Order: sequence, then C-alpha cells, then structure tokens
Amino acid sequence: MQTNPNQPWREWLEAEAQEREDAADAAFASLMAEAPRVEVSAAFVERTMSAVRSRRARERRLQWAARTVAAVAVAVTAAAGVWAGGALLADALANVLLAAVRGLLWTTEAMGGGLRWWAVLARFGSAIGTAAATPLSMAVLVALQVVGALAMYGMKQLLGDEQAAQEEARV
Amino acid sequence: MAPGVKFMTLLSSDADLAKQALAGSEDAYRVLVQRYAGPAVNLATRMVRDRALAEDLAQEAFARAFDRLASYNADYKFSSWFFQILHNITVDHLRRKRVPSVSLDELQEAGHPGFADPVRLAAPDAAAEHGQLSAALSAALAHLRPEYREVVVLRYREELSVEEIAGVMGIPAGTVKTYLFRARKEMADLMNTAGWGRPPVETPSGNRP
Repeated sequence: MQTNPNQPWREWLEAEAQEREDAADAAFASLMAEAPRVEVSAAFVERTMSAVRSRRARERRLQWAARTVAAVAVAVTAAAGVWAGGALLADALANVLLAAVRGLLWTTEAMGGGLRWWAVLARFGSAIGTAAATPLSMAVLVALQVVGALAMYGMKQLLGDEQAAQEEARV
Repeated sequence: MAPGVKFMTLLSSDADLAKQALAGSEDAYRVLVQRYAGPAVNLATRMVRDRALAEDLAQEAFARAFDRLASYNADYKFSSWFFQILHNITVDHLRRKRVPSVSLDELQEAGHPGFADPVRLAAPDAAAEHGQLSAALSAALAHLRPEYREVVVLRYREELSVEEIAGVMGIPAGTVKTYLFRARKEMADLMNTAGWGRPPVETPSGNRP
C-alpha cells in the first residue's frame, strides 16, 4: 500500500510546522471528522429511558409528599395560630383592662399634684411593655422568626435552582 | 426503535422533539436520546477516560435534561444546552472524586482500550495506517488536559461554534480559541514525536520502511 502524501494528517502536521494556522485548523478538522464514532447500544438508550421514567416517578412522589407536608404544616400553623392568637388576645385584653383601671387611678391621683407629661408617657410605655411582654407572646415572636428564617432559606434554595436552570437555558 | 414512534418524530427538529417531550411524549425524548447518546458518551469518555462511568454520566445528563426541559429555550441549539448539562455533571464528578491525571502507562497497564502511551504512539505504517492513525490520535487526545480534550471534541467532533463551546463550558470565547490552539499544537507535537511528521520515504516496493 502506498502512502498518500496528501492525507489530512500529513497536511495538518505540515501546516502546523509552517505555522499556517487556518490550513492547520482545516486539516485537523477533516482528520477528526474521519475518526471513528463512539457507538452506543440500544440497551443504553433503553436504560436511559428507564432512568428517565423512574426519575419522573420519583419527582412526582416527592412533589406529592412536599404538597402533603406543606398542607399539614399550614393546617397545624393555622390551628396553633388560632389557639395562640386567642390566648394572646384574651391576655392582652385583660392586661389592657388592668392598665386602664390603674391608669385611671393614677391619673386621678396625679391630677391632685399637677400633671407631668414625661411621667405620663413613661407610665404609658411601661404599661404597653408589661402588657406585650408575656412568655406566650415571646414564644410566638420567636416561632415567627424561625418560620421566617426557614421560609427565607427555602426561597434561597428555590431561587438557586431557578438561576441554574436559567443559565442553562441561555446557552 | 420502540413501536409506536411516529415517522414524523424521527424527522422532527431537536426543538420540536423537546417541545413534544415537555408535553409528555416519551417517544420524542427517546429520539433525542438516540440522537445524542453517541456524542454524549463520546464527550464524557474523553473527559473521564472510563467508558462505563461515561455512560453513567451521560445517562444522568439525559435524566436531568428531561427534568429541566421547561427551561430549554428553543431559539438556541438543543445540543449546546444538553452539552452544558453534561459538562456540569462531568466536571462536578471530576471535582467530587478529585480524579487525578491518570498516567497513560496506568491506563495501558489496566488494559484500557484506545489509550496507548503517547510517547509510544503508533508510528505510521502503510499496512494499517488508518487504524493506527485513529489509535494515535486517540492516544494524543487522551494525553491532553481535560479542558483541552473537551474543546477538541466539541469543536471538531460535535461541530459546535467557539461561542457555543464558551457557553457550554462557561468560559470566554477567547479562552476557547486559546485552548483549541494549544490542544492542536500539543497533539501535533505528540504525533511528530511518534514519527508521523516525517516526510514519506518510499521503498522500491512502494512501502514505507
């Protein structure tokens, strides 16, 4: 068999040696185009489709589970909110009534000695603080902060996934 | 081919198939898998240098692409979008496993096909030139850095443009050009070292010595 001096590999190597970049690129492209292709079996395609199907089924199961968990969480939160909200409201009403009675007595007493507005404001703030700062209200506030932080974390994860998907879509 | 795959599906464009698959057509996605299975396994094999692992990575890429079909923009090539997913999966795998640059001696000792020692690349031989040339090119390609191998495969086998490769790999187009240039030069050096660059010497019988 006689060697053909015009074969792509010879053209490529000669073009590279002579630094003819365009010719080298063209010859290399034609050389690579002739290289044998990787063959995949029909079994690979079937395995892949099977993986796609099972992944889709898993995704559906996960979505269903996530929706169930979310629904339960919403229901529990709503029930807890109603219970805690009712207790808080009753507590607050009692405190407000108590503060109102005390305020009335103090105002009546103070009117005898002359009103000082800064003292009135200080008493007013103190009464509100006392009424609001119950253990239950603190617990509700902390719970709301925890729920808020978890929601922010979940949102960040969702946005991250969405951003990655958008980056792929841009290509 | 699975029974029931319509003839029109086979002739459809990638974008149409992706749209049909998104609407729930498994046959449409099967045709896409058939179209890109070879290129995907080829690219992954070049990157991880392990055929079985490459098939696993390609399979994962197809599954992930199916999950994200809604994010595919049909104004762009499906192949570029898909190769980006495969690239990310493969690079993640390489980073996670911290795959070392396996020496070609080790690959050869492990009996890995197609990865001859580049220093001992098959020299040109008139009797089996084409086969030896393929083996020599494969070995030279395997000797390159993973990112060089990837640009060579995407550019010269999958015929993606420099800009598309830049999108797939997430690097500037100028860097892709540099990688392509250096990859070609390194492969040429390896081929020359193995004797492929010598001028042809004809023997009286017409064969090279």
